[in-house]
Amino acid sequence: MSSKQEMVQHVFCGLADKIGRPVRLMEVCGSHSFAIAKAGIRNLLPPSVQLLSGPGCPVCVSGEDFISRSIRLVRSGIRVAVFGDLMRIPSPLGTLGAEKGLIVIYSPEEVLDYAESHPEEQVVFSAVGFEPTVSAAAVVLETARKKNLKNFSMLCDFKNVRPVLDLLCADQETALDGFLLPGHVAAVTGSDLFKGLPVPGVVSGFSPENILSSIALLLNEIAAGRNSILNNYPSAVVPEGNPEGLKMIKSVFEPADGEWRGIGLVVGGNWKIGSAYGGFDAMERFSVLQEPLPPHQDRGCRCGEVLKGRIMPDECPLFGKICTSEHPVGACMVSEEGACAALWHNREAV
Amino acid sequence: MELPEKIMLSQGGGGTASAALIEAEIVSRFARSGVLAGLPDAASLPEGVIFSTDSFVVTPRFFPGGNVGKLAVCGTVNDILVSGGIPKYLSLAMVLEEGFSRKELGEILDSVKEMADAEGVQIATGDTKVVPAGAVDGIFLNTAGIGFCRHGIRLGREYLSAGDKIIVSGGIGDHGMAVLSARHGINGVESDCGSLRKFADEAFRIGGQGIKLMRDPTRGGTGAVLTELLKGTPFGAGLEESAIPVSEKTRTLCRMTGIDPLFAACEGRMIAIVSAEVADEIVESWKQLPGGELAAVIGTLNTNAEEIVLCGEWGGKRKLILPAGDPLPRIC
Repeated sequence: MSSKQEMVQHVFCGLADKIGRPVRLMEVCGSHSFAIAKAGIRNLLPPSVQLLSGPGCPVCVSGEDFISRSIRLVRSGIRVAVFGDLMRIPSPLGTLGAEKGLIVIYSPEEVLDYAESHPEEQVVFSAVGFEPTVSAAAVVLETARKKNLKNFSMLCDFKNVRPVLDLLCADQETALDGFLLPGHVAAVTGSDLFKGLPVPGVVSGFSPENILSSIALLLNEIAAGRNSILNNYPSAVVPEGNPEGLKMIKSVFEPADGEWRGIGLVVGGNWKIGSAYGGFDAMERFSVLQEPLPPHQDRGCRCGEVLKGRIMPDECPLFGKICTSEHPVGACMVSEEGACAALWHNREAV
Repeated sequence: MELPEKIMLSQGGGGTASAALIEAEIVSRFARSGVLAGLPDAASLPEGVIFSTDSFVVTPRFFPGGNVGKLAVCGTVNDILVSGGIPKYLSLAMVLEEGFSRKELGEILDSVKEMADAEGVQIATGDTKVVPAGAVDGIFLNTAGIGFCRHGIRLGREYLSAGDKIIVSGGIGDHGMAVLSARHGINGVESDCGSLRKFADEAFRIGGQGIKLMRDPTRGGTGAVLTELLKGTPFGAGLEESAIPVSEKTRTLCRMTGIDPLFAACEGRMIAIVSAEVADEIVESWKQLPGGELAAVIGTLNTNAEEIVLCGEWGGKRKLILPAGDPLPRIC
């Protein structure tokens, strides 16, 4: 055992002893899920400390209807641009990856360039994401308005992180003791967004040492019986967030109730395009999006319980058997930041 | 794995999807027995002849540190070298797209000549085809090579034993990241594209029969090659993540793109499994060679069959899992 490993185990065992009962912690950021699995952090923790992956991967929590609607747009001859991680998400209409004529982009500006150089086409940017993506999308919409792009619109399923955390805290079955809070989201929203949660939380960065120290801080707060929100990612996060980013989000988007895959309706859980930018909302522009959607399918996977932290991915009967990264059944197995895929790609060794 | 009806890009990526296609279509027909059995990088034929072939479809054709022509020579030469041979003759086949620039063709062939001359290999036979615009992308090359086995060496899975060391001849992932940066107009990473002749010479001079297996980690990278090397053996490996050499530039680009350097391609690096007694000496001599500055011992064989475990800096352990495809198609 290396001396670093000895030190880590010494710290965690001391904190776990001080707490004296099993604790359940949750990370709500896909990049954390991946970093934790990759560094093998779970097997450095004492057995009484359980680390759960919550609804932190935007691709996993986006509504099934969003994929069905994007497919409808493609099939009606509209040019749809997406980030590559949406291509394999299953929906009742199939996957976007099986459709022809999509554009896969790396940066939102590419969609605007495409729309500008193809005035004869209707171009829709289909996007999901949390606040960092929402602020980038706000810039895209503002630019589109300035350029008066008539052939550009957006179909979005943007998520507002805070309400779902309150919902998870209220879930008796999940019974959380604390949150490892998302560093990228907090860089935009500020750590103040998480004030008032009924359990403690620590905003964390993404290196193994930052995650380890955040977990130690979190356990220390639990041991002390405090519900503080601590910022352990000060190089990127300040309490009030990024004022420019927040201003952009609020000028373009407004909170709305939204469907989270596996979780259900979350009051205030989405960001929708505000009335000032309504002309760029694909939902308003294309009648094909108003048609009734096919019913959701029961694929037998337990994504919902995974996303709520009720079970670990390997407790789902499909995990690693019929649901693998080559053949994902549920959304959590698609993006490598999904709870199931993170664990599948980085199976921990004992 | 269930195979799709149509060929998918990921099936050329060197991951599990490639392996499944090759198992179903190639191994079943040609490699159940005979020289192709076990799918070595190059075939060992009677009378000490080593024979190998490779096709080159990299995009872009020119990248920092090389081009498709240099790659076409190095790729086949290196396959022969890591199979214990000394390359002597190459074939060169080209499929050209109608409308392809003659100037560019000249530059690519100049690179072929320069590299072949430097390696002492002759272009012994060749073929040129031109197809209508759209039927290929510019130029596709194929080389096949013949070499002769070094005396007094033996390579094979049957010589492995627990405690053997895994060594690598330099920083990994440079070629993959160089191609990626060239595609996206980022400056910085240079491909490691080059011959492994001096590395092989040094390894065999020092290690002799202590060299058990060698591979060059091209498509699929170091992770895929190690997985392949240990497949079907009673051995697994423990790798020290902090010992795996990755240049600073490649590491940065890997972080930016989320690509694991373990699965990024090299075109001028060698992975060898050698007996513990010779490992350090080989690594020290590799470090003196240009491109070998970061050579290192990265792990040790153990008896946990086919399981490769990475031990992180903080002691966390995870299994090395081969991805389905390559994050970067058309890397070589």
